[in-house]
Amino acid sequence: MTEKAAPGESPANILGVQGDWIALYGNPNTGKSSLFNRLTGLRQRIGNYPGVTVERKEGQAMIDGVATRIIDLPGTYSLAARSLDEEVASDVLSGDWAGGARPSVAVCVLDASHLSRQLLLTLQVAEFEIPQILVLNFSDEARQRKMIIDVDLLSERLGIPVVETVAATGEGIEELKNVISKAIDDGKKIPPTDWPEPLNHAVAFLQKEIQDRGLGELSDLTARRAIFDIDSIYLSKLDWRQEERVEIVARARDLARAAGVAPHVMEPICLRERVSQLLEGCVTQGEEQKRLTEKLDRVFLHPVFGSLTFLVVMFLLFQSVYSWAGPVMDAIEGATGWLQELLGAELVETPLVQSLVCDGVIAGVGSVVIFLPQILILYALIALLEDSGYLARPAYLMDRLFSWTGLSGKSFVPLLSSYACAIPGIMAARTIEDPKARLATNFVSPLMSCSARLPVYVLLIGAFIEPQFGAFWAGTALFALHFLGFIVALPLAFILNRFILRTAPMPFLLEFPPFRKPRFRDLFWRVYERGLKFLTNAGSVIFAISVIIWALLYFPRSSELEERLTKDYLTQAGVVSVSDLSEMSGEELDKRIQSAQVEQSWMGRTGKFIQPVFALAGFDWKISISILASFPAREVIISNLGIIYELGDDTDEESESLREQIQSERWKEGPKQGQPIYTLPTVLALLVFYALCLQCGATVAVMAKETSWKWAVSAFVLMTSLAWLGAVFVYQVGTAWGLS
Amino acid sequence: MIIFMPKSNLSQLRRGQESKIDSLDGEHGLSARLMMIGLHQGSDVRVIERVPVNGPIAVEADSLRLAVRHGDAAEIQVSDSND
Repeated sequence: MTEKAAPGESPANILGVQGDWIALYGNPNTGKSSLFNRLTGLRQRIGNYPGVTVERKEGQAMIDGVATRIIDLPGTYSLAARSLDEEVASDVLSGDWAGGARPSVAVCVLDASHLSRQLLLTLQVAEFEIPQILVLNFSDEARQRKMIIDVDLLSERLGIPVVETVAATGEGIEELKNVISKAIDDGKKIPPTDWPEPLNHAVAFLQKEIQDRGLGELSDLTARRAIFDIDSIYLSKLDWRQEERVEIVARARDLARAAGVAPHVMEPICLRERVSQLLEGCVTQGEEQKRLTEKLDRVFLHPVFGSLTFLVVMFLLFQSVYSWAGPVMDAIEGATGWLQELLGAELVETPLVQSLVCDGVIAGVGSVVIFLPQILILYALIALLEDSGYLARPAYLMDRLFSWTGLSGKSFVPLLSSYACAIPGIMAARTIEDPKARLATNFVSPLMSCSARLPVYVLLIGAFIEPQFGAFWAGTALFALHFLGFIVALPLAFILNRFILRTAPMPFLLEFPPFRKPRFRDLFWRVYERGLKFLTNAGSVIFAISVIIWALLYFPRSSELEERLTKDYLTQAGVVSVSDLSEMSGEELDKRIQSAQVEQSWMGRTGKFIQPVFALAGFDWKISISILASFPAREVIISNLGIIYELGDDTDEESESLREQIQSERWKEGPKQGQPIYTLPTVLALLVFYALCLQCGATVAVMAKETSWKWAVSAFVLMTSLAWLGAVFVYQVGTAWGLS
Repeated sequence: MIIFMPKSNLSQLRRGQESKIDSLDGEHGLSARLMMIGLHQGSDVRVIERVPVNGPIAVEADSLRLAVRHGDAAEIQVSDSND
């Protein structure tokens, strides 16, 4: 769950312990997370940085017998703070967060083969004047390509310890721990860069102007950043007017320009020069050896073959998710049913508690847990594709399809994950730099057809489309429903970006990491973290909502109604008391009572009240309350229909009798009396409604957490309206065409 | 003999074509980002693949492989290559 730190809360509280702590930072794809997993093992967890929705991974490593906190910062190329990730990394390393805690040591993780370009970030961090350690990871790959790095010389020149590691195998980890322990005591730092004189003049000018205007003090560091990045968020932290800022900074930049270099590229140019001096005679470049990556990319990056490969990969992915999860889901369902029966028998004396526990708590929470296998398998497979380096390729291929809407190739992974469940999808959107593009991605994520919609599709397609049109059209309908949300999402994102958010086009830079063998250890951690997060985040919300829905369907109870129904039934059956009824008739009576109780419950009354709204889509009051009751979690519609159609609530989508029951449902009154309720237009309308509607309390809650309640509620209202319009449209057009 | 060398930009390169980055200091956010990732003036670039209809361009520069959008690539001047 999110931890929100109050302003002024001490860093020690946020970190949970006093004392030394370590920050890991570096470029993406340097094996930083692998190294983190090696250092911390079981002792790790995910939280949030105070106030922002960037995931904070932290853990403990035993350093010299002392449990020491380690924070794994998001991978970044720069600390220019253009994305949330960069902002967080910069704030933590500079101590500009939660009370000003600075790490005792910052460990910079580099890919040894790309030492020269990744050292730019290291030198950027050197400006913060904190003790550092340089880790040359993937040093086995560097050795393979016969690249020789004089570690001692490099260490001497930088003034900090340098360690070679292979995080994947654990090589060098013990040495790293020893080095960290020593670095905490020694506190060796890289000296900050000597900036050209004109830049220093500009910095002094800017500081003086700010002070003269009574806007506060500006540190050398912040003043330099202000000159480097005109759109830097460091500036927005100061309390000044926009025009004032633009004017003063522009004048300071003009002074800096006297150095003969444009201010906005001065930093990388100076740092690069320093890196080449540092590495002079330190590194013998080996031979280029990335034949595998090059060969694979000939297919994966190709517009035609790459896209085909991607389609096949996706097909296999979803096939595996459905087929591997099936048996486990059945087992969970079995266990849920067994638990319901067991506790039901125990609580038979108190029907209210029995119903609350069995129909509310167990059914509600069970309906969430049942999706855990699918989500874990999907996560494992997506993590596998990501760790291998593959996912950057389809992101590149899909960018053209997304870019006209204002989304980018980076929206691809979040939207892909949303096909399993929108919650992990929304979380995955955190890697998108632009807050508006991230918001737009979050906004359309719930439109992707998640696995919870599948049971409804299976039930309705199996009952109406397959018998009438055959398996081919049933399969096509299923595919079309999975595609519908995506088709709606693109223009929606376009409208959102163009007219509401007015997103500025962001440069889209995507590195293609070399293909590497994913490590089971790292996959395991990602799946474990996600699974836990899903259970705690979604579980708590669903639990609460299940109880509420149960109460709305359960109350008020009318004992008078029960007596009347029992009397009628007994008269009909020609017996005197309930105990004379056969077991089957007894169950039949129970179902009738339950169904009648549901009809006059608060939810039932509401269903009848709002039915006219849904009548335009051909839905009767029973469908209407099923829809209402599945707003907290759409997967409960099957059990809702079960309760309502007098079947008791242990019905699943394969249940023949539920299928037969809805096939034979007829209008009891009104102009269509005697005709079947579920005609083809009604069924199609219902399918479209479920495909488009945001019936998931957990998603709305997570979305509110990641964006704001305003956006979450807007998404909910919009998707519900779209679903209703779509359903009415399909029903009216279908009826006019004379489909039946 | 004087050879006329028109300026071209990265988005104009064909698939497989090699060139050198000529200037990377246009006044937009892209330059500094590209330079921090590891590109710089004088980097050898090669177009690996392109997505049709002005889609992104996959390029290789030094030891780096990355995708740049068509519009962003148009901001990167390259010297006319001698292929």
